[in-house]
Amino acid sequence: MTSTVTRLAIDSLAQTPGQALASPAPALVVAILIVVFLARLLLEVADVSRSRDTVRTLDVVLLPMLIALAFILSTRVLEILPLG
Amino acid sequence: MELQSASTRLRSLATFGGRGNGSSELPGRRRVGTVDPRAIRLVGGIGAVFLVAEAFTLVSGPAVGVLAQAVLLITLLTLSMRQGAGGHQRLTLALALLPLVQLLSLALPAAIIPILAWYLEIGLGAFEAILLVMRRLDLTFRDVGVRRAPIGEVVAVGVIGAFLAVPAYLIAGPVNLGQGGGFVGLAIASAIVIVFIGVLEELLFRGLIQSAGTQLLSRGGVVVSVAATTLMYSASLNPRYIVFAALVATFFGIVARRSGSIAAPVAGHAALAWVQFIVLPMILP
Repeated sequence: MTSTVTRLAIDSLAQTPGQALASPAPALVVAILIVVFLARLLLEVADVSRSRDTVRTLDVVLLPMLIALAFILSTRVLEILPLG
Repeated sequence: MELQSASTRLRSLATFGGRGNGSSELPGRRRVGTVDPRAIRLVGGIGAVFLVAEAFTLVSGPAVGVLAQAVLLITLLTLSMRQGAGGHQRLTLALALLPLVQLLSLALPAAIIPILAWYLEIGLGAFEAILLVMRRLDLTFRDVGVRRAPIGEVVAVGVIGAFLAVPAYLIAGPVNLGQGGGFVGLAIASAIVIVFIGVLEELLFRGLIQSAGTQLLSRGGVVVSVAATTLMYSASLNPRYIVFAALVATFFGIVARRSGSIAAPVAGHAALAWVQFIVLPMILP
């Protein structure tokens, strides 16, 4: 076990594609991603001081979560494909 | 040109707290060895909130955990944006990576892909976040301890790390990473373990967090990095392994502080992880 792959994650894995689709953790990450993305868009067009610094701070969350989104979607496709 | 490079060198030594540092020669810069009382309150507050978020995660499971970590992440980002440029902002933003990594580690694992791929998925996001924090704070790789270290020290810490893998394996037990067979599978698994455990964790804990902590708290930077490592390893749900991780983190933290480089801790951690996850499962039942 390490700081990134934990026993907690292994013990709480969804065992079927249905459970995986219904699991809330990835959905919450996607929801957070959408909120951060919208906040970034608003800040980019907002005429406020320090908005550039704020956008760069939000990028710290946004870009890794976009990678996470890509992996979440590809995993869901892998889970659904055999069912079809 | 010469003056500029000397100034950059002094700045990076001041922030990482390496051997023979000349930070006290810098006018208007905090001397290494002094502790900022406000930084102690900041670290204490963030630590307490992170402890609560981690307790929620461990007790209630991934769904509540993701929510708790998201709240902590947004709180730390907001706090960092409210602070002016300086050590407090650097430490806050560095510590914000912890809930972000926790979010990824709770949301990305799936039974259909091997554990080895989890390291790749979470590690890619974490590496990107580290680089973005460095960009946001205008840090160079030297500022986070990516610099040369005496080869003897690197080899010695690497050997110690390899030996530490034995108790780690005995405490944590075997973990099936699901790597492919043959030489290629072994090589890919080795590369992923070395890069996404050894390099990633040292760059995060010793490189980014400890250097930020050292800038404000002097030797307390080691304590901050050890506390961060221990909290992150608490999700292993194994008290003996958590204590072991804390002791190893202390060792790596002291090595990084003494040498001013993360080269030796990276060697030690990479050797530890490689022997624990790749070598010992092939040798021991």
